[in-house]
Amino acid sequence: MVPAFRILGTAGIDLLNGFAIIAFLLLGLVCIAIFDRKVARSLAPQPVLRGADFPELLQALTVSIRSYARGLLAQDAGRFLPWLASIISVAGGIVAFAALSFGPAVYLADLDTGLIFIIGASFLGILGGVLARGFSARGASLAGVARNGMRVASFEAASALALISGIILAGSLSVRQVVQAQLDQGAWFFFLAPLGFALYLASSIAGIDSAARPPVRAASKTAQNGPDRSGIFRWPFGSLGASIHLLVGAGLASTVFMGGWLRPFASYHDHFAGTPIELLDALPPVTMVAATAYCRWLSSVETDPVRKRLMKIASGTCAALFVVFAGILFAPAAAIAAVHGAFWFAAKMAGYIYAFLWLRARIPQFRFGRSIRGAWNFLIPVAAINAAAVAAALVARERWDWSPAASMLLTTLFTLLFAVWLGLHDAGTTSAYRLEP
Amino acid sequence: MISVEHYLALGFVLFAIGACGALLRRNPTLILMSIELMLTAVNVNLIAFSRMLGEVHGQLFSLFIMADAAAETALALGILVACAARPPSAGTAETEAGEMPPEEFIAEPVSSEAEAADPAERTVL
Amino acid sequence: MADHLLFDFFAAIAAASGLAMVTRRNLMHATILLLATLLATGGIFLQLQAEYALAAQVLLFAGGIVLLFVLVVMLLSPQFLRPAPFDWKSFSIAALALVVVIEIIAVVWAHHDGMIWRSAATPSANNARALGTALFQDDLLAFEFAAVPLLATIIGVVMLSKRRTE
Repeated sequence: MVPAFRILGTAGIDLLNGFAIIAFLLLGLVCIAIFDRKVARSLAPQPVLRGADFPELLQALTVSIRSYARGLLAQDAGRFLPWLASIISVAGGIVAFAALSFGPAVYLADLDTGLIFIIGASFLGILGGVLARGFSARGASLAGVARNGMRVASFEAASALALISGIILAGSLSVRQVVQAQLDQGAWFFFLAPLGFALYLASSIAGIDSAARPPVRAASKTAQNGPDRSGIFRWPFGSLGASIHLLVGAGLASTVFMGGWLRPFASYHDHFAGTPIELLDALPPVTMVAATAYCRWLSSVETDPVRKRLMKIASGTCAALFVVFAGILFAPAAAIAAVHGAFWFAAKMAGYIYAFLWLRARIPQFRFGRSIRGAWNFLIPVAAINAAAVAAALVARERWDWSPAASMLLTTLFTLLFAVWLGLHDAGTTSAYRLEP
Repeated sequence: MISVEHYLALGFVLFAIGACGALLRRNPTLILMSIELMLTAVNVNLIAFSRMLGEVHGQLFSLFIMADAAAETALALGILVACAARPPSAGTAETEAGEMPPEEFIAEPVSSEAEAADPAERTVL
Repeated sequence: MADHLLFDFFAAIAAASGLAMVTRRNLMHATILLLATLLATGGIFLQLQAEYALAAQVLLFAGGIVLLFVLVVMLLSPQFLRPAPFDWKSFSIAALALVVVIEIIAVVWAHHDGMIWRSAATPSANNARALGTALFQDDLLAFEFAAVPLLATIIGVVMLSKRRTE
């Protein structure tokens, strides 16, 4: 805990952290909205709506949250349970998100079993989504909803299994201790269990809600027809629940595999003292300067007065953050890590989300039967074998003093061989992994 | 001061509700849910005792119960689905005794005119 | 006092939604009420300082089992969503069970003073670690035996699905 915060008392710190987490949530939602459109635009033959996308997306965000709330209110009177279901779908995600920790000092609670709890709560969010859609579906579409739920749950199980490899390496289920373990071992678990991360990413992408998958071809078609103003205001990612689910997934990935709030090379602070690596500490303030300048430019370009003011507020916030990030550089190293941690965590989450959306837009969607088979016949066994191999490598490191790099290489090689064998074996018997025509 | 009896009472109440449900309802899905309720009630008791004795073995047993509950539910629901999902081309040759599920076990047979007459009935959701 | 209120809150939710679940005619509603019961029980577990049990409850019961129920109820909708009738014939048995349970509660309540928390101050600092140590060192055999039903379940489900595809 940073001493400067201690003046506030625990209640004050909790309140502050609560606000910070809400800010993270909103920032993440905006981030998903922006990236989703950026990716869609990069697929389109010509750019649409250049420049002023940020305020429009803010507006889209408020509109869609308002429409979510209105949808909640507009449920038929006396139908409590559909209402409850759509509450569950969002609340599960938010609870999972709040159990993450965003920096050395920015967290609400550190449960011993934090990771299981987070996975469970995000499962709960999925369940709420399935229920909410089930309440509004009828007849044949009900089976469709059930199938979608089944697919999502299967891939969620696969991604949880993929996380296990990171958990084994950390030897703890607590979110903070997982990050601490990465600091102590001197490497993000991304480097110690690369296949675990790959499997996690793959199963999260494959398991995304089918409602949250934009029809790629349709997007490019509207782009050809010119800017589709009405299309801006749709919720960018299927539903609020699906977006928060993606945020939780990004948070889990950056906590378990990408070192959480740790700066790159955080373990080697003393190794590289005085080298250019130290300049990494200057990155958060520099980024904030860039964001301030960008927002100011947008506000000068913008004609709509409301958006102009919004952009001014945004640039003011960025400037304030710059002051905080730059000012803390004169404090001791622990304080720097505490304040910059939130920045690094946000940056990692943003990177994950961008990679996720980019890949999602480019990977073709499988039909139900194939994707279910892909989950159960391929991803889940490979993730299980990967976890077992990582455990074996850990034993080898501790008992026989193998180097981490050698054990990681052997683990990866072994799992890859298994995956190739499994894929060939399955391709011989079924046509599970051929692409859709 | 809250004591272990409160938790035991809660456990008993939940167990009684579950037992009544399992006995009173005929629908297999609801019977399964009632069994889940009973198992959870047992878990409440075990964890309360574990807290009372200040050791961890009660929680251990509750974990075993959870694992077995999950396995049991998965298997039972698998059986239900297997019973209910008849092959689409169910001819007379396949409807031998033993091959089909006992009809009243699954549900009352759905009469087609009831379905046609009252669409609201079908969409009870 | 706050402890007591918290317990009353969770217990009331658990019991009420359990009762509602058992009496619902619509299976979908019953499922969501089961979820409410299980989550409230999870709150009770947290109050008993069993964080791992809470996490397992949320993940396994609330996330896994209830999701299975929901999917099955949706998949089998035409048959299963018909209002499920009560079986009044076995009501007498249930009433008997209820009487017995009430009697047990009464007997336990009669010894109200006897049971207190023996070691109120010794919940282990790290619940997951304590549980893991017990599970994988002291009670490894029990753990291995607990895996046997799971294996049997896997085999059973595989056999079931095999029969269907033939």
